[in-house]
Amino acid sequence: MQALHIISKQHLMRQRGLTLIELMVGIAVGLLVLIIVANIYMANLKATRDNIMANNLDSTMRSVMALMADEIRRAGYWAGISTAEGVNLQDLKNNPFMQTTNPHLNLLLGEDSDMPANSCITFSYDGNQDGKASDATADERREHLGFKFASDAGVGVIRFRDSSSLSDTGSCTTGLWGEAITDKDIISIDALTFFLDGSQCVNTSRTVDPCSGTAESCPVFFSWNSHCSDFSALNNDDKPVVDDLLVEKRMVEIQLTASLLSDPAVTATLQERLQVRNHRVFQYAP
Amino acid sequence: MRPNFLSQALSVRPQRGAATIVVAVIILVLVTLLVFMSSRSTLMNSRLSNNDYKARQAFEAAESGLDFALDYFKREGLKTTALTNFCASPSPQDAKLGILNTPDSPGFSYTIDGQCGAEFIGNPAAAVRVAVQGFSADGQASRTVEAVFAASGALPSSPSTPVTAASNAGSLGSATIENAFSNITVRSGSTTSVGGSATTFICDRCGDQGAVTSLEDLYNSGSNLVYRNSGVDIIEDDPVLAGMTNDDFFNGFFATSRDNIDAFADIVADSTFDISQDPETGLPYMGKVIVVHGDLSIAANTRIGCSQSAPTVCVYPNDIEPVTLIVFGDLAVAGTVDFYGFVYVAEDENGNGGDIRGNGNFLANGAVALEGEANISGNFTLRYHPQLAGGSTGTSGGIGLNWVSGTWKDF
Repeated sequence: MQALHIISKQHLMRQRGLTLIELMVGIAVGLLVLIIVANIYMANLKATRDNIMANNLDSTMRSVMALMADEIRRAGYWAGISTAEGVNLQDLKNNPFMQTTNPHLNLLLGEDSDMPANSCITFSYDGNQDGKASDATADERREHLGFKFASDAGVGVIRFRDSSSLSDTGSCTTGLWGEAITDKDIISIDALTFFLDGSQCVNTSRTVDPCSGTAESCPVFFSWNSHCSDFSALNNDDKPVVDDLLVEKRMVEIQLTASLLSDPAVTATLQERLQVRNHRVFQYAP
Repeated sequence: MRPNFLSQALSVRPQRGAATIVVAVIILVLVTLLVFMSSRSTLMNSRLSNNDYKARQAFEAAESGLDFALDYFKREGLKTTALTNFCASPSPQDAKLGILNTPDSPGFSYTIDGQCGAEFIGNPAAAVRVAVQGFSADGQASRTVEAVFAASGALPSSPSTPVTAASNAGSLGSATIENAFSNITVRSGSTTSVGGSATTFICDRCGDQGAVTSLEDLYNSGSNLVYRNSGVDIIEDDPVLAGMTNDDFFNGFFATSRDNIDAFADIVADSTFDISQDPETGLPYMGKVIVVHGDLSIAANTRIGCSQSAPTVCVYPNDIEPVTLIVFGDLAVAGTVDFYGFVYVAEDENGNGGDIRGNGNFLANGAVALEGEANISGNFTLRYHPQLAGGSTGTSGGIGLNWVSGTWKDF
């Protein structure tokens, strides 16, 4: 006990504080360490923020892409096909959701005014499954869909067509295009392009000689990239004639590029290719 | 021991560096928060992409289920037993897919909400609607897709010519062949006297006939159509047909081989077959695909493909359900026989037969394809009709069964 008392007393008596130099060096070293650490922290913070934003960009693009792919894949569904007696291709040419004239309900590429080519797609399917294509009710008008690349106050967005009347079905400028499905405050869509490359057109009414193996029909196959309508690459003998029954297998490729508004250097490109599940059957009319 | 050593040892010097530790702890906490925030976002993103992946997996599984169903009904035909087996749980297709589609780890299922996803359309069934629920590998995500497969007639494409004869076909005897729909009556791969004493009629105004469906209006006397007998309506020595074997020829009509055709038939019979009446209905055979291995003899006063018995007039389309008759052997006709549909007379495996013979009056409405010759000492009259030429859609319907474009949906 005595010893401790002596120690504490001696100790207190020996306290003499820090010199100014000691204090200044200490503060300087402390500040230096703090600044370095704060810098690392800020860099971390920024990296995290970038990471979150990039994730956000990524997931937004993916869900937009999935939405577009799912919708486009349904193009041309028609509940009005009668199959009780069996069907043949002739029955299928009457599908109203694949017509290209008055009204144009078939899948069609286009663009909004002042936007790049093929940055818009319009299509339709029998959403309410009543077998009819009309614009009599809001429900019917909602069967006419589309996606387009548009500009909202200078920021690129994707808009979804909610509905349209029959006369507006093939148009990227008219019809009721709803709110953008991408957030114009966070993400800027830089490019959206649709391609029909890889689609195929089959002429079921023509036979080619020599035709191996079959007696009655040997269809003419050829690739196309614009709605089974460009036959310039074919020999004259192979070109379809009026009323030939053609079948289109439609492939749609979607390319989407987007960047962050806050940091345009963060960009991502997604690409998806899908087959429209319902082939188009139609009678050739030049 | 000196006291200051003791004091040092006991660390009773005033504590310094409290500020340092406070600052260090604060920085550590901030950085930890940052890491948590970042990892939370990354985790969320990986969960999103995982969900995306699962959804795709489920979709592809459902699509493969549709393909499997199409294959199944193509193989089994649109028969009631096929549907029963299809809907049975665990269904035979599960077993066939083996490890890919076990009850523990289903790739896809045809049972949706306790109901079988398949139903026949039409009576007799001409189509089947199939709904498939596909699952992701872990079974958490599912997608349902639906499509209709329909029979498009027993023949993949309805013959456009009343008579089509293979490369080794002989003469048509004194047949009368009438075509009110186009200007071709006979297409043959041989140079034999297809014409012979045969008489052919073609339409005067082809193309106007779409609206005229009554066979009587088209072909009976008093018709408003004018026929002319020109001769250019017969295509002989057709290079495409000439270059074909009988197997190719058969394939061209049925899109399947001779060996497989039995699978698509409603009735497979031998030469003892009595085609005069369907024992199930007491009526003539209607809308069936009939395959006969051996010579077939048709008795007098038989009607095939028409619900009215002679002499009542058969009215198209109400009374008629066309029949597809495939005979591997000779088809012999005794007395008056009216046929509605498509007749294919083939050689048997020994190369015999393939002829239409007999001394009766054979009236065929639809189309005929031959590997031999038609030589009837009575009257052989063939009246072409594209809907009848397509033959039966068949209650087993498998041949023409195909996915109907426009019926696919996933909503």
